[in-house]
Amino acid sequence: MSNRMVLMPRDSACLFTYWEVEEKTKKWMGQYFQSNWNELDFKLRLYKSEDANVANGKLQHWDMNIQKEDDHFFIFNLVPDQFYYIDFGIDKCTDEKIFTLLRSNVVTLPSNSIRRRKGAPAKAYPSNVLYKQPIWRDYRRNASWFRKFTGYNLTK
Amino acid sequence: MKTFNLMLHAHLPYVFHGQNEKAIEERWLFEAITECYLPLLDTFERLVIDEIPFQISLSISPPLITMLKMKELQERYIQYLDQTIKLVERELEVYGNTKAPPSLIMHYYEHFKQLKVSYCTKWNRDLLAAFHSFEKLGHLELITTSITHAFLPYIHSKEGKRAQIQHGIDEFVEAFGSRPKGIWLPECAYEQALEELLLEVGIQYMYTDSHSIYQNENEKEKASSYVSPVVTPKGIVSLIRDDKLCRQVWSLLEGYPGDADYREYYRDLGFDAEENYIKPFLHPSGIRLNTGLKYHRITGKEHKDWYNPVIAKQKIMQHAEHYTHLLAQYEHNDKDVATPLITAAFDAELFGHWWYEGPQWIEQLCRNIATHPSVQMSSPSRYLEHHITKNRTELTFSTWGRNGHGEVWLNHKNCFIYPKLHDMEYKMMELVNHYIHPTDLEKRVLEQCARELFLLQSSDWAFILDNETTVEYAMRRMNLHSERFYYLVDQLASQQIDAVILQEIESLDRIAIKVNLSHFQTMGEMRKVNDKKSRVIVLSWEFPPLVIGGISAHVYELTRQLANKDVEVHVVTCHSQDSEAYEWVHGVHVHRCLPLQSDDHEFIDWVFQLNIAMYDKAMELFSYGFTFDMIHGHDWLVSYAATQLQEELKIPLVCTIHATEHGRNQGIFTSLQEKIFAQESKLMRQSQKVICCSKSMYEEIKHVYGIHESKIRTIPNGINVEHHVDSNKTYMEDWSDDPIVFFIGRLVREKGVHILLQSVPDILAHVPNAKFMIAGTGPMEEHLHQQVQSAGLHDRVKFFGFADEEDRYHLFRKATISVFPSLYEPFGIVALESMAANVPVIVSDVGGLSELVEHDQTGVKVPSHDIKALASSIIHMLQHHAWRDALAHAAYEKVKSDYRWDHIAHKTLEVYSDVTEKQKQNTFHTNDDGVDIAN
Repeated sequence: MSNRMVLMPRDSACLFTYWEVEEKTKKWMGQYFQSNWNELDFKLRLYKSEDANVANGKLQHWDMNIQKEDDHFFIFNLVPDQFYYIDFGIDKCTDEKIFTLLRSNVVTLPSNSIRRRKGAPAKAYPSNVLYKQPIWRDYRRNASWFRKFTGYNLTK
Repeated sequence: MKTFNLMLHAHLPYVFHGQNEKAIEERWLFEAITECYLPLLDTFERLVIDEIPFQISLSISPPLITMLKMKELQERYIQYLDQTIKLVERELEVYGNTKAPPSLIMHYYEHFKQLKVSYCTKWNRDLLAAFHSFEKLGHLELITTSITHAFLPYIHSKEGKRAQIQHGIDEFVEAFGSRPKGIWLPECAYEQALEELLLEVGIQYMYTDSHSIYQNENEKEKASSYVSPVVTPKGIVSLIRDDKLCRQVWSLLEGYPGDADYREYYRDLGFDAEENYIKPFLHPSGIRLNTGLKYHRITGKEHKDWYNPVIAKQKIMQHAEHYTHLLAQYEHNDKDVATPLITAAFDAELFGHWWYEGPQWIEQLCRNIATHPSVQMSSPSRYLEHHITKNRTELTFSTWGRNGHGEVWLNHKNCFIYPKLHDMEYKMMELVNHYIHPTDLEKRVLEQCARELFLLQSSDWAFILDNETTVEYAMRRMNLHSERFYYLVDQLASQQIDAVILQEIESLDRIAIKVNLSHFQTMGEMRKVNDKKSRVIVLSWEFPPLVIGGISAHVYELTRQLANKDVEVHVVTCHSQDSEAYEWVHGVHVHRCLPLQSDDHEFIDWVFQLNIAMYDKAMELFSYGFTFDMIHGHDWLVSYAATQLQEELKIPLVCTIHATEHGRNQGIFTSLQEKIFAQESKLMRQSQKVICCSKSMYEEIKHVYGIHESKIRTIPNGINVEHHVDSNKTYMEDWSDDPIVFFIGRLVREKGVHILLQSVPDILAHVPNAKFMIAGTGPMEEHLHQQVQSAGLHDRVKFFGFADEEDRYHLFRKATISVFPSLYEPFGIVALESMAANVPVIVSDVGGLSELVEHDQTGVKVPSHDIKALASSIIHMLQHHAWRDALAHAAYEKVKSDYRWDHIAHKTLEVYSDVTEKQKQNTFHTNDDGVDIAN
């Protein structure tokens, strides 16, 4: 088994996701958070973007509480023709933040109507979106501590 | 003229069960041959004899191709036919246990006898050649589908999808000698990601369901402006199934097959006859099975009358006429398309197996169209030769399943399949990347692993689980292929391959005659540049073009020198904007990772997430066969990953400590500093050797961190003395006649820039035309700007900002002197840069700077924090030209001899060798304090 998070489109309003976390990763996380893995709380965070390059577009997200024993989810009532990806993370229980541990591929939900008028240019999604992880947002540059980062630590 | 394409997709899952001659599922093949394929071939033959100009598309799936070729299955099919004929003869003897009309029994007797003649004599048991003969005559266009009919959108990786598609095409070429122009997407499951892969194998057209264009009834009207075919953004033509025309045929409720006069599928002698009578003709286990002898017509819901082939024939004529009329009346409102290709696509097995009269209906339809004034048949290739498809549109994820998307293959009954499928998919890629040069036996094992994966990927299993028919069989098959796959994986890992068992598995799961393992490869390019003596993984949070502190340049220079010395180096580092995730830079493999952040977390959490990403990347490399001899971690920022990797891979760890938290802050005071100190300590304790850059660092590590001296090695930083950098930019041209005092470095407190700025008024009092250039960025930048403004020095002091390699080179060469008034400096690489540029230096007498510079020989040292002493030294140096030139020259010679990067790399290699040697001798022991007991 490897650490993995997968997102699959089912129809224009439904996604399926599953995730797997290796035992050694659970142990490592437990050490970092100084807690047994089974005592941590977890969340899923679903992101939606209108732009295929999710790093650029406006992102919306929703958090979903899950049970510890959960390892897959069907998510319904979604908006078609949008781009989605999902995180599995540890609920930090402060300011609704999650510590992302796994991130899925990006999928697009199928359109539920003809969107394109005949003759209008049709677009092909870039390959990096369809397969590889696109360039995620670099939160480092927007981090509250970024200006104080010396390259080794944070200055006073 | 209306042009019509009838597409028949022939597919069965691979159901060969080796020596188990009584495997029930093989009867699926026998029934399909009996009820569908042979009747279709006879239909085609009659049409040819009567010179009817028909054209039909036929897709034959690779599992079906494989099974039709198998001698064992051909033999068993004849036995099946013989058994059926015996049953009919028995029926004739006793005139039906079920009292069916004698004429009906005779109908079947003649029918099965004729089928045997067709199969054995006319087609010589080779149905593929039979279909091919009709293609050669121009009546069929043969295409195929992916190797085991996988639901391609639910295969996770590009390589997995590619392998399915490419192997399917290869199997077709093997069987028919040419490449198909079109493809049947399994389950009509389309997603845009497939197009690139289809183009790779030369596919010109594909079939998709109407849902690829529209979703619901309201949209259909608008969709008539999108007549078939359309062309996608990447240029593949899509033949869209016409919903109405298809439903007219396949629907049991609305379509022809539900007609009361047609044969009832669900009444079979195998179930209707008395047990003792039928027992000799059933499966040895006693399970009742379809025999193909069905005596009833649909009639109504409950009561079933006897089947009458003559009446059924009349209905066939009527329904064929009706369908021809539908085709002739087909309308659309697309003014740009004069001749659409009206497309109706079906499972071939509908005709004959589910709908007994189906082949006859096809025959009659072809005859009707042949004489119709406004309808003609065409294959897609023939159509595309004469028509240009102008309708360019995006298609959407769609299938021909329930509700038009993925519901059939992804629901609560079958979703559990995918974690295992994807795991095997990625394991396959891992194996192929790992075994770059497999032995013959290993190659056979890998190929068979691929076959097991293919067989598990078949869309049939998820379909069966959804419709809850033969669930037990589907589960058994999935478990079987999974077990065989992992058994073979274990065999490879243990290096003890049982050739006998391998051969047995190969003889059972014979899909894909030739497996091309390269389709699964992901790291081929990376492999081509390797052939070195040892392999080191270097963890560094920064690497060019990401340059924040001094680690970036250090790691860049060191690793490329190591690469020159027969070491294969993989640097794992942080993502940098506009840089590739993988690059090969001056012989060094560079892998960039981005932490999976989603919120603005604390700094230490960001560092940990970066380390998780780096660890995952390192483990990915390891899984792909990159076995490392050494881990080399640079500073505490990679400590989580470095120590975790060492525990996982059980290989030596060396760390370089570039600076310490204790030294930067002159103590540990805050909780963040405590955490960093803890990570530094852990990294040093867990490392077999700790490298530092100066004697002062050595003392710090020894006394503050308690690391035994035997474990610490002092290797200075290096410098490129002779490199030259061109530039089109100009630097400090306004000051070309003035003496320039230059500082470069991170604008942080410990660099002491504020001390320098405080000395400026005193310097200007003695050297009025002196100018000061401050290059670099950092948290103190704003504060220093304010300091300059407040002192009214803005016309004498300039801030350059971030200086890249080109800027640094030219700024140094414009400077008169360089000043580095650090309060804490583990090494002071910038001083070396200045010395290498022949620019005399004034430095604080601290840390590494104190060791680099010999006072009054190769530069000047002043006490740190001493503004007066600093000002005095700067004034003296600016006023004494010959003396400073002598200092600069002496410094240059020293740097040239003692600080070259190849020399530094050589010393680093010595450390690696020392560690490796001790590892081999197993003499590496450290106590809890990190003391090297062996030393």
